[in-house]
Amino acid sequence: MQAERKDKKKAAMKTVAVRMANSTQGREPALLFAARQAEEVLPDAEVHPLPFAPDWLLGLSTWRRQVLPVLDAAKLYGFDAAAGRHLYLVLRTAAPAAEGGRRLLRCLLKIPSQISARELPAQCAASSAAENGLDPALIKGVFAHENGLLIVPDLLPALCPAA
Amino acid sequence: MANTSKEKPAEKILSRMKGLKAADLKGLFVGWRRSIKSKLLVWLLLISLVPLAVIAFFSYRYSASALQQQSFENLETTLAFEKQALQAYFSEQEKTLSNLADTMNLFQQEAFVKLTAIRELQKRQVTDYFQMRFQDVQTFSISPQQSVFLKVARDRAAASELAGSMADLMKLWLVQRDFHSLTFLSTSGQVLYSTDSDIAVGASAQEGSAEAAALQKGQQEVAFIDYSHSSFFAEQSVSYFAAPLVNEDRLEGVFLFRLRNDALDGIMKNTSGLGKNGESYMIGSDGMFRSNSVYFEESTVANAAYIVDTESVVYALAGESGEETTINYRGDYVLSSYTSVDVYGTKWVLFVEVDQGETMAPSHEEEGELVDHLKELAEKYGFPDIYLLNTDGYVFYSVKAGKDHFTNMLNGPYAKSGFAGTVRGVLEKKAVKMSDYSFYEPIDNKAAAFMAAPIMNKKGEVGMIAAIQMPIDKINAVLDIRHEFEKDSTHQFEGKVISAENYLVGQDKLWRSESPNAQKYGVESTLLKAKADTKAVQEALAGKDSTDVIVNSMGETVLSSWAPFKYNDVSWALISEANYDEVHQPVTSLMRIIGLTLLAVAALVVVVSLLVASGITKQIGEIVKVMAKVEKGDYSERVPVTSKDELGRLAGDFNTMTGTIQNLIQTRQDEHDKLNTSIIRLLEEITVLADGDLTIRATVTDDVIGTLADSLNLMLENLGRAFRRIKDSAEQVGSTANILSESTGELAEQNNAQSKMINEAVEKIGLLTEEIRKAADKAVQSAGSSKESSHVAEDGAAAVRETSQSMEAIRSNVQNTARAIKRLGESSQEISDFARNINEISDRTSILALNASIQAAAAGEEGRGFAVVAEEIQRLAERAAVSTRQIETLIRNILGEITEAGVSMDASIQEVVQGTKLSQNALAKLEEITSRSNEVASLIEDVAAVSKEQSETTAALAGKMKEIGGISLETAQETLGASISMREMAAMGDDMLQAVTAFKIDDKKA
Repeated sequence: MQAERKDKKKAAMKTVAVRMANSTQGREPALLFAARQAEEVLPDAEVHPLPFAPDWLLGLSTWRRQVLPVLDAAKLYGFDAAAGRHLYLVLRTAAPAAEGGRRLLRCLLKIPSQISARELPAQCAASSAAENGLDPALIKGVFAHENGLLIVPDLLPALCPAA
Repeated sequence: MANTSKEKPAEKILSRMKGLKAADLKGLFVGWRRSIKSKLLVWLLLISLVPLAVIAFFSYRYSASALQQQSFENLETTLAFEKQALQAYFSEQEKTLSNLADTMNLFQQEAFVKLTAIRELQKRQVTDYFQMRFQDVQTFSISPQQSVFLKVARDRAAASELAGSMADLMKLWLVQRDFHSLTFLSTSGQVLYSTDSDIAVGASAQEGSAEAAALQKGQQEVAFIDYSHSSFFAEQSVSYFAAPLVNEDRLEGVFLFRLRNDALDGIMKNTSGLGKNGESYMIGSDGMFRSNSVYFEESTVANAAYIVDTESVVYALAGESGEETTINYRGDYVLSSYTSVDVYGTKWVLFVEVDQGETMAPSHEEEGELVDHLKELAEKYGFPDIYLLNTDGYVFYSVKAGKDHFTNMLNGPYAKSGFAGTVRGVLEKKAVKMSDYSFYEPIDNKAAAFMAAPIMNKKGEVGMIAAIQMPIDKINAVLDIRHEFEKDSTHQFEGKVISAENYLVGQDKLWRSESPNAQKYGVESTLLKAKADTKAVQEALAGKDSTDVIVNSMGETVLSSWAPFKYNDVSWALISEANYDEVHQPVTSLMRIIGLTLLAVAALVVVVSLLVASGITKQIGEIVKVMAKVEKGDYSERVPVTSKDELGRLAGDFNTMTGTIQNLIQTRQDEHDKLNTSIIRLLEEITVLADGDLTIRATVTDDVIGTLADSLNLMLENLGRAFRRIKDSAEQVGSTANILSESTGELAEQNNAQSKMINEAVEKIGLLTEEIRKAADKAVQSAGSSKESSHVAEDGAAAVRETSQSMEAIRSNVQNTARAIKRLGESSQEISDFARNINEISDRTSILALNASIQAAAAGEEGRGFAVVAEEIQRLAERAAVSTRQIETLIRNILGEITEAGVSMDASIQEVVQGTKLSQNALAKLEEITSRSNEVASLIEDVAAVSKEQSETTAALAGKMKEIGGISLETAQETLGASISMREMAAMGDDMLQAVTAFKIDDKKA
């Protein structure tokens, strides 16, 4: 009971879920980000491509006078490209700094338009990335719930490969 | 033959000219095309006169233009020269005026210097005088005489000692010392003794009187008492030197030495160096005279009737000395030099003055007449007047001394004149000013212009004004200068000088100069009286200069050159004009000469052409005369050759020709006679022929008749041959006719048989005709039926047409419906677009709500309220999206149904179209049936008609056959008749034979 209450308390965390195109074993995958990790949802962004960049790195764009890399979520995490319009999610993550401490890194993530802000569901069970055909290096965790998969991605390897 | 003339050419010409009559000349031009003379005359006139006229025209044009151009240049040169001359003139006037002003200034300064010298001298004199009086008084007061007065002071009775010789001595002493009287007062102010019998002994000095003041001041020392009222003389002011009588330091009394009223007369009334009207005088601090004025007989000393209250008194009493131009106590303008004089503690003011006018224009006598240098200047420079004015506008000097002399230009009777304006301008601008011409009343309202210059004083202010009245004759002289030049010029035309009118015009469009031809303008003098408001004036006053042909104020056309003229504040128009006709006179004369030349040439041409024409036409006339006779057949006439030219040769040839013709005629006549003889011979021979003798032959000669005779012979031979043949033929005909007669009898019998057969044929044809008629009737019936069927077919076509139209209507309705459905589809599409927009908005709203919730989450606890709002917005956006999707679905369904409806509409339309096509086809077929029926009907009709024709034809054929039968019968009859005729022909042949044998022919040649 207490654990449930505790779980329920934990489940009250705000998140941003992005529904991806593939359906894995009948479950719809959704990338899950903490609400405080997401800074803004943009309907459009001007992307300047970079030469010799991997396919998931679309290029650079500007956001609030900052130059941020633009990543394609579908290509990065191995999903099919969703049909229809896309949105750009400004995400923030912390990386260790060279002189100690932490530094903030930001990026633009190109996502399908199926995005919603919600609280975590009460019932979800942990799952593994490999089981679901995902690259564990880019995934922090996978959780299954009755309707789909919730994937918590790790952006650091993409933004900061050396780290 | 040509006629030779031995007349001289000149005589010939003269004789011809004499032969010319006026009527002939007139006749030349009337119907000129019918006569060589006229043609020659007209063409020669044209050829000679037209070029002359053209040359004259161009000569006129170019010479007129060149002349005008030159005139313009002359005018412009004149104008420039005059403008320059006027500028120079006014500058010179200004210079002269400035020099005058400087001279006046110099005079003034010199005058002031002199005045100052005189003033100082007089001051010294006055000071010396009073010093002497002082010393005299002082000496007296300590002299032994005073012991007498001591006694008197103590005992009044002792005053008797002062009578008699003592008194005389006293009086003499007083006179010598220039005192009026001596009065001895006691210390209490009582009169103890007086040389003046009007002063009673024992009278007391009143308080505030001169005596009281003298008593008071004279107690200590010798003192001077200024003029003040006296105790002893009513309404009199006296002045004293007071001296104490002191004995052993005790004041016994006071001596009062009264000054004579005319004490300073000797000094003040000395006006040497002050001119005629100058004076010097002394004024006390009360403003009253302390000396007698040279201008008044009565004493002005301390006379309240004569008060001097000028500013200079104040300055001088304050201790200043100075010189100024001012109005003195008499109201005269004077150059005044003033200073203060201290008379033993009393301040007086010494004025030394000279008359301003007298100073600035000093005069001297010349030949019994007073002449001042300004007058000389005026005469020298021709100024009508020279003025000197004060800064308050007062005219204190004028050469002419007219009505404006001694008036004030600024506020006097002439304050509104141009001169007054100039004076004001000088005072304002402190520079030379010039006024425009205007009527000036002081000179009987004549026109005058003025120039004024300031005379500056030492302080740099305007001290005086010098002014001159500008002489108009100088301006006129400048403007007339061209005429002076041209008067002596060699470039004259017919002894006349082309005069230019040069004048100045002011802003009021009135002349500013005098024209030598003022009467032309209807005035005595054009200055300010003649008006000129022309284009030249307007433009010049507007500041433009130009040259053009204009109409002047007199309505004359003139060549005009104009330019603005400005000097100082005066702005005039300078005009130079030359009469257009005068300028163009040379051209006009030229044209006259050309005209006369043209006339002379025309006359000459007429004469020459007449002479030439006469020479030509005379010969032609002779030829014409002879030709008229030749026409009538008279070839004997010959043309007289009157000239040696082509016409003469023509006449000669003509004569040759007529001679030849005449010979020819003669030859022909001979041949004619010869021919007549031959003909007669032939006729005689033919007469024999008339008797039937064909063996006769005509004589063949070598002429035409011979040929005829030969032909006749041939004809007779042929004729003989023919008759021979006829004879043979006649014989043959007779035999043949008999044979024919037999044949035709047989033919007649055959014809009868034929006629019978034909009758039978006719009956059969009649039956055929009846059958054909019946057939034709049936054909007509068929045609009727066919027509009916055609009508029925038409009705059917009409019905089908109606059907087609209805189907068309149905089709258009269906099409309209389809269009409406399409529009509905488009509207649905639009709704779909709106729904899409709403969807987008809901997406954006959703994104916004997402961002808001993200930000609310980032804000933590504080953002909870905002998160609620964001959620609500998110829900609303989702609802909107859902509704939009539903709308889209509905729209899609509607569109689908619309599409189906559209498709079925199209199908219906297609079927309608098909039905229409079918009905149209049916219509077409029906129409075709109709047309075919009509064709059939027409064919049947044709057939009926043809049948009818056939029937008629067969009827006709039957008729014809009948006729043929009749004809055959007739033919048979005829044939019989022919047989009979043949027999008769045989008989005739016999007759012909007999007839031929009547002619005698040569049987050997058959």
